Amino acid sequence: MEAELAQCSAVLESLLNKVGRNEGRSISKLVQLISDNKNLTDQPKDVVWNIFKELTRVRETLRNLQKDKQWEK
Amino acid sequence: MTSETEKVIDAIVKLIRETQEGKIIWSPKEPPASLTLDANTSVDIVYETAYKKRSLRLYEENYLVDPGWLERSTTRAFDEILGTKYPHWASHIMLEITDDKGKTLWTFPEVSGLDDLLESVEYQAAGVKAFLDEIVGDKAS
Repeated sequence: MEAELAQCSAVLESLLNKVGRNEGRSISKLVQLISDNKNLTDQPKDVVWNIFKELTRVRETLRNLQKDKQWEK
Repeated sequence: MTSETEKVIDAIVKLIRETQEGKIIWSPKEPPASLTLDANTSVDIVYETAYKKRSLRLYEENYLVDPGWLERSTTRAFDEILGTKYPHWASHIMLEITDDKGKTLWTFPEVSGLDDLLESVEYQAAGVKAFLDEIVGDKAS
């Protein structure tokens, strides 16, 4: 799971320059959260679920952005 | 994203967690008649549970996308770029609060996380964990 989150973090960071300020803020928050909890085995389950929650929120933000972009076309 | 959407996502994540931890037990059921009347939609199975004195129903609904020729002509250029052909089938995941007769009282908005919830519910209802344990157990013996 740690490896997957590291991969996820790299993808998120690459997205930072391609999105607006609002989306960037949610992404930065998630990247920071992942970075603060690199060693998940030492963390309580709540931490992992909190990362998952933030990840789902970012997914929703990006989904909405994608819908808006399609509409703009 | 509005705070209302965030709240819905938080609720869905909680449902996923409690499903995975076995605190919520979902039962697979035949779809009610109200979900099978329309020939342009199909539902194979629904999952139901009782949660905090409410009844919840979760299912994937397939629906036929066949806009009329007028609507199709206005979006033709965009459809050609995307390679969209009509008619075609699409699907969405529905999470509803129902009454004791199975009538829909409220449908959750379609947000991220519903796909993960359905995956967790299917995993639980199909007894995948026990099945994998059995397979691994057989291998060890």
